[in-house]
Amino acid sequence: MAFFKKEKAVIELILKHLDMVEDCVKASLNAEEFYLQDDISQAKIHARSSRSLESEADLIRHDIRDKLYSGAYLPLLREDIYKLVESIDRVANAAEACCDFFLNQRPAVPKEMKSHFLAVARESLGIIVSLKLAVLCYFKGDCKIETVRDHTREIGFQESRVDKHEWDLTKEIFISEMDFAHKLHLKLCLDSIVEVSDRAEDAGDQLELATLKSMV
Amino acid sequence: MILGAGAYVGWNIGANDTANCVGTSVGCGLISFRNAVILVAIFSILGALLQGQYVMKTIGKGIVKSDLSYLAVIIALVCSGFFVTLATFFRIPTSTSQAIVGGVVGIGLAVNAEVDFSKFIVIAESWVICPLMVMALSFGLMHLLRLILRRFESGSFLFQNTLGWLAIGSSCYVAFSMGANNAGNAVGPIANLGILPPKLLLLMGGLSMAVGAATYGKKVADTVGKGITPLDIPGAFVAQVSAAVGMHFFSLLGIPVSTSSAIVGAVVGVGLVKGMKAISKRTITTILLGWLLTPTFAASSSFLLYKLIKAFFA
Repeated sequence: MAFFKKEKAVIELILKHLDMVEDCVKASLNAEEFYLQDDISQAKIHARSSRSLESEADLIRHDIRDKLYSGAYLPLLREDIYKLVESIDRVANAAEACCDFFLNQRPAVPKEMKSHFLAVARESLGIIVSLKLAVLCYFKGDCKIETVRDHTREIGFQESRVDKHEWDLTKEIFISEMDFAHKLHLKLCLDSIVEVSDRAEDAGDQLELATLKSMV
Repeated sequence: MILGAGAYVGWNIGANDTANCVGTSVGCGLISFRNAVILVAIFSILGALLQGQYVMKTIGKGIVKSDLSYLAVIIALVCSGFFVTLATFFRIPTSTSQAIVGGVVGIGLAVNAEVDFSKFIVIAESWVICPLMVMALSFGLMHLLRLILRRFESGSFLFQNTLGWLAIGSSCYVAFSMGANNAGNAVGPIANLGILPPKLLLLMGGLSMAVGAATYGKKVADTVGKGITPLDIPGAFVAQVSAAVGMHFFSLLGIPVSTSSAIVGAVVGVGLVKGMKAISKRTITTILLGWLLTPTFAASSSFLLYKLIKAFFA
């Protein structure tokens, strides 16, 4: 259709950006998994991949911004669209920062806590699957609004599960026999992991706001 | 002086009726008021030039069946214009047609000319029926859109974008209709006097409306777009379309209707979908009062002013 070419190009870019963010988060999770399995060289490879995917996602985000402010979509909608894209981009930033934390600061995770760190990382970074589903559903326009909202609710539930893991692991860290500096370092590491699901929840909220605005 | 009076009425129409064209689009944030004014200026001047001659003839000869003197025309225009200015000052989207009709009837009675009351009653009836019918229409359309959005569509940004452009497009259409319909209101009473060629008069009417929109149009636009009920893009779209369809329906029946009453009825209908609480009762009461008082005061003041001037100079 000849109408709304610019708008459709923006949607294509948003979907491309979403793919890039998903790959970035998955690469980051791989890096953390390898790190916790003491395979640092593999972890580095995935961390580098995560970094470059995050940079590519940034470039696409800039493209989206340029297209939006050169006339795609009505001004009223531009801000909402760009806010949503930015919030999705922050998930990739958090994922990149998380694997950077592991590889730059090399937190010493005690053997008995490794499986717990792995579980919280998988839950937190795995949230990208639900986020992608919700955003795809909304932008492709082939779901009912209620379905999109079901997906955004699922993001919220998953974030709550991450919070539960975080609570348990924080307690485990601080009741352990490690010195206080070590405890604080592990807590910082845990914070950087759960930051990803926090940012994903923000993106989900932004998407839910967009769906609410379009409901009459 | 008589041309100045016509321009004053045109300015009033622009200041008050701009809200009918773009109030909903500006109110929901689709376009800025500045851009809206540019659209109103372009389309109302086009409307005045291309189709303004028909209403100009009706206003000139339709209600009062004899030629009016320069003095009578000036008084009718100034009195109608003054009460529209007052309504605009109080942010009331009043009908300039109501004021003009009131002013012309008042002056017709003052000069003992034959006034076609049957025509006047038909017009007055439409002032009541039109907003009620458009309100019902927009209420129904809003429910329909809601059903469509919930059942079949996700209400994505692209869909909202399409609705937004349609709302802006309908704003342009209403601005064109305003030019075609209301430029005649402003310069119709002057047309019979043969001072200027009709096309030039219509251009003057269209230009003065554009100036009115730019200089004093924001107040009433805020009332229509934000004061009655908060509007979103689907709401603005439904209100615009309902008002346009409602007015078209009345045009097919040959009944002249006011765009102000149509758009107010449409916005109320959209608001009612969210319940009575979504409607500002205070704003509605003020608008209804304005609708009642504007033609009444325009008629009585033009009647009294004419009699007073005649008595004083006699």
